[in-house]
Amino acid sequence: MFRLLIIGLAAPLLAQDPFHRQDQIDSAHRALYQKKEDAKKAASSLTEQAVAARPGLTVAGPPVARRNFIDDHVFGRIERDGIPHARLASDEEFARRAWLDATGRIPSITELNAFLADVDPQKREKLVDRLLASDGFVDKWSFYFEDLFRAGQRMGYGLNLFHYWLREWLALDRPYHDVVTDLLTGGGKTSFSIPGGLYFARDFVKALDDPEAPDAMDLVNIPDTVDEFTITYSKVFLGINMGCISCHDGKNHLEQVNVFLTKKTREDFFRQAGFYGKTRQIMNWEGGAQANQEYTVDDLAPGYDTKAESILRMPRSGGSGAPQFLLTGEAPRPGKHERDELARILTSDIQFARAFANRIWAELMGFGIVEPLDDFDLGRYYAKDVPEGWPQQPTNAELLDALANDFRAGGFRFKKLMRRIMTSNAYGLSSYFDGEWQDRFASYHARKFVRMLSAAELHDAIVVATDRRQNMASGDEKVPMAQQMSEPKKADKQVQGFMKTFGQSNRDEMPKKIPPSALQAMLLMQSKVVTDRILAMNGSRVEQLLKDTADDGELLDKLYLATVSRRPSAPEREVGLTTLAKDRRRGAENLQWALINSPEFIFNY
Amino acid sequence: MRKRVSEFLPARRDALKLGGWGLLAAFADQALLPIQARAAGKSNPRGTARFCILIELAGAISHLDTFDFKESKGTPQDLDVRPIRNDLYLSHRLFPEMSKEMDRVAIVRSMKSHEVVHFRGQYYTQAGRPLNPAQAAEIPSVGSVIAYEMEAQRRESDTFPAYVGCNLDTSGCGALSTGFLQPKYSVLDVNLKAGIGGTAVDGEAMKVLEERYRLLNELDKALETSRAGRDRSFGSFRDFQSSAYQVLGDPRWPEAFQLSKEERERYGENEVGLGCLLARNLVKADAGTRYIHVVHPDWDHHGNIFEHSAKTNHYIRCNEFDRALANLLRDLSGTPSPRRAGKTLLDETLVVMATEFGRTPGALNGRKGRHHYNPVYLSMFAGAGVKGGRIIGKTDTDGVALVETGWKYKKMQPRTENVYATVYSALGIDWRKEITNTPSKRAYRYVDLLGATEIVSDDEISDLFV
Repeated sequence: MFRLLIIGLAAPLLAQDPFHRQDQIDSAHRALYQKKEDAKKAASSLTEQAVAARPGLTVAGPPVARRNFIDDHVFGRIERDGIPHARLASDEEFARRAWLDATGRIPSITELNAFLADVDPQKREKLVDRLLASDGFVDKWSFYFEDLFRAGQRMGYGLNLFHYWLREWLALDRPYHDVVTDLLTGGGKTSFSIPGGLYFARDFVKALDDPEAPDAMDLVNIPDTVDEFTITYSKVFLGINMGCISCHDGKNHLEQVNVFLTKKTREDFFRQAGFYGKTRQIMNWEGGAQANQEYTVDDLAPGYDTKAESILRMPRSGGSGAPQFLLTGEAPRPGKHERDELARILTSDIQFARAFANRIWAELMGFGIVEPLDDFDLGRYYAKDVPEGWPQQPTNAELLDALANDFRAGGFRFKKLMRRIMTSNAYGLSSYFDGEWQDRFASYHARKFVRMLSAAELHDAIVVATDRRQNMASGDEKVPMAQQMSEPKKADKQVQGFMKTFGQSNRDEMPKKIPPSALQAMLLMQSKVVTDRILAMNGSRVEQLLKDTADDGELLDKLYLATVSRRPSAPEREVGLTTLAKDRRRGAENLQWALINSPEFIFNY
Repeated sequence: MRKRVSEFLPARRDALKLGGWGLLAAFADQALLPIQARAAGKSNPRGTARFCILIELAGAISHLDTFDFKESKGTPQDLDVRPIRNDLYLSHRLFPEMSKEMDRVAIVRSMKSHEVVHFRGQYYTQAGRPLNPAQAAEIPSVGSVIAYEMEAQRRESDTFPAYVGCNLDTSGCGALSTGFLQPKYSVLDVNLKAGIGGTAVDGEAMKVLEERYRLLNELDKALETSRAGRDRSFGSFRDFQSSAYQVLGDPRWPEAFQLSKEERERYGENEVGLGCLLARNLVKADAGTRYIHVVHPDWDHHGNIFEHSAKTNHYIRCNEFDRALANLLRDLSGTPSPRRAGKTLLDETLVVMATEFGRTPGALNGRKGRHHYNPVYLSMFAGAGVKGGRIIGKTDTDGVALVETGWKYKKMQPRTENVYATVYSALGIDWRKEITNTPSKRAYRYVDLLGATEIVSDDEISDLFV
């Protein structure tokens, strides 16, 4: 009770603290969201003011302060258009969300209670800082990027090295543009030089016919491979899908699809691919046999041949293959290595920062400012450029630009970007919305959007909730958490099957979000991954609680805190206590089962 | 090269003129427009099948070494080819069981494809139309369309998903989504060899599950009363749970997955054997499943196609398929139909063998294998009124070129589109209709006349039946 009072007093402190630590206070943007007659009145950043100025405006929750430029953009627009929004998330909601987003894990009872009990008005930012500095951050995000970079098949002996190189990036918070430069440059024998060539080797097109002569170079169709890789890195690092123009001109094909790419030709694609025109992937031969896990990447090909035969596509139509960046037309400087230049040009372009910021925004906020993440239409980015009859593509172009510029100004540091988003109140809204939700509110981020836990997150959440760890192989080590594994494919059959059903990428193809399904529901109810762990044996959470906690009410609380990171509400408590009274052991097992199967467990809300 | 069609599928294709979300957040209650359909031609579906089992030989079976046998420079000497009747010669080595069952099967030897690439060919086989990257995200798999069509016939007691897949995840394109159709029509894809989806819940476990599920419902109700305004996805997932629970709670479900040792040996302990066995059980159960798509992977023998020492070759694959199909046909024809006196389950089930293309005829290549070949290849049909023993179409003595199409068109060869027109027809589905209010506004015709490289026919292969 006293605790509540303290928090109650702290709340207005929280509300009045404008978290203006960003480098650019975007007053220029604020003007966009205010009608001239309101400009004078909008002295404070509280939504309340806007409500006073526009009596018809209703908000679903109490006013929310603007903590940084993200909030300026998000709430500025919300206020301008009179959109109701959710209230701020409770401490429990925020805690679980932050833990999952930053570290891929749910908090332990101790960690959670400590946070909930803390009366520091800055505790949320401090939590974010702690989580970003933790090992869990490295675990989760290295797993995420290994999915994105498809750190799997064909990395062969280089896979473990890649795994550690990625973890190093995240642990040291190396600038992202340096990381991408590493991925696009370098070469040599892949099992020894990381990541040089390893990322390029993820795309390969096998030559149609194996020659009689054991010339290793012919086993990879190099021009087609270069095409595939160009499409890959453009999607991943620029958010631009060059798949269509890799086959044909945009004209007469893309008029209904992409305004920007309609103006581009296949030759433009050849020229983008031309940066890798000299790069080869050579499958190594060892002992007279093809060594599929070993290959060498070098830059000794003569250049991109625009007449080279294609296995996958329409015959190449000719034209120039001299390297030229699709977005700006920039060519490599004379005397410089083409791939070094590609890395420089690509990472300097604002689109590079936008694509990354958009991706991280999508992960944390539920969907990107531009969707799909790898399908930007730069011809519809700014409102002024949008042709007749088309919608503007970004839901908030100014916000995305601000994020991108902030990311650049911050030295491309991933943790800084995470911090910016996670300390905004836009991120801090609840997913619960009191009132009549309309789909048109979605693009305003008027509530927090839920996302399903990733397969690995879900597995690990079950492990933590039940405190039943099982060591799994990862390279030469053994790890308890799925997100620590370097190769999810090496997990035991049951874990693999479980994760696959919940959408775990096989790392041969790009990760895709799969919608919930009945099979997932079935598995969660029946899989040993769950049903073994909830039993009161082998040191499980249920066993521990039954032994150490005599009081049913306390046991119920702890079970809830351990599993769904909050205490039970009164009606839930009633059901829970009745269940425990009937059969304490079975009741506790069934309760944890039910909590794991509840949507609250499966979703990050 | 393992290219996936998902490379071309944008995660969520923005509805072109619909600004904003379109198909984002594809949860159960999201969308999807009440479907507006209209007739785009007249079809007379024959409606002879209650079920359809489609077996996809993914990777491409060699036509000239199997059911369109042609002696070639590359033919190995140990195939023990024997005449079955008239125009049908079959390798006894490759198909000892099917050699006895060929009277049940009709073969189409004049198939044609425009595809040469696996993932595109396999997409084609699941979606019934060529891959169009601009539209792909909204295109449903044929099985989902069938599930949608069969919805009206679903009885109160039906708990099984209408569309079940076996090893679809091993296909080059994976299990395709429901596209613009509601997620409830999605495939339940099991992989028995990998142990996914085969949940056998015995009596005691069922009791426990019941108890737990009841508790879950109580707690969820309690939560709902304590807090309003939760995200829609919560409710949607609960819907999936309730369907899942119904299936799990239906004793017929674990029964369908009870595969005895004897049966597993008889059908073969491999992808196609277990898949066909499960398919038989699902047909027998008649608990809601109407369409089953079994994938038999790894047919792509570019090298060592007939090398006995190779880990995978045509001998192994043909034997596997042989046992699975023969036993499936025997079991189905040996089981009387509970619905129609004097008929068997095979009379009510259309069984189809589909593959993406054939393999290069003539001599073997430098790696002792055969490459892809699409000018002629084959497909097979049995059950549901198919005239067993019929052979439609003819290729030349080398299996290289078409000689006769064998159906109503002298020049146009049957394609995957026509295979599916036949499937739709057998299931009683009017396949000349189109759905008009797709997100892209491009009408979705069940069988599209616009092929990848030319206009195609949308006719069923009626010569199979009459």
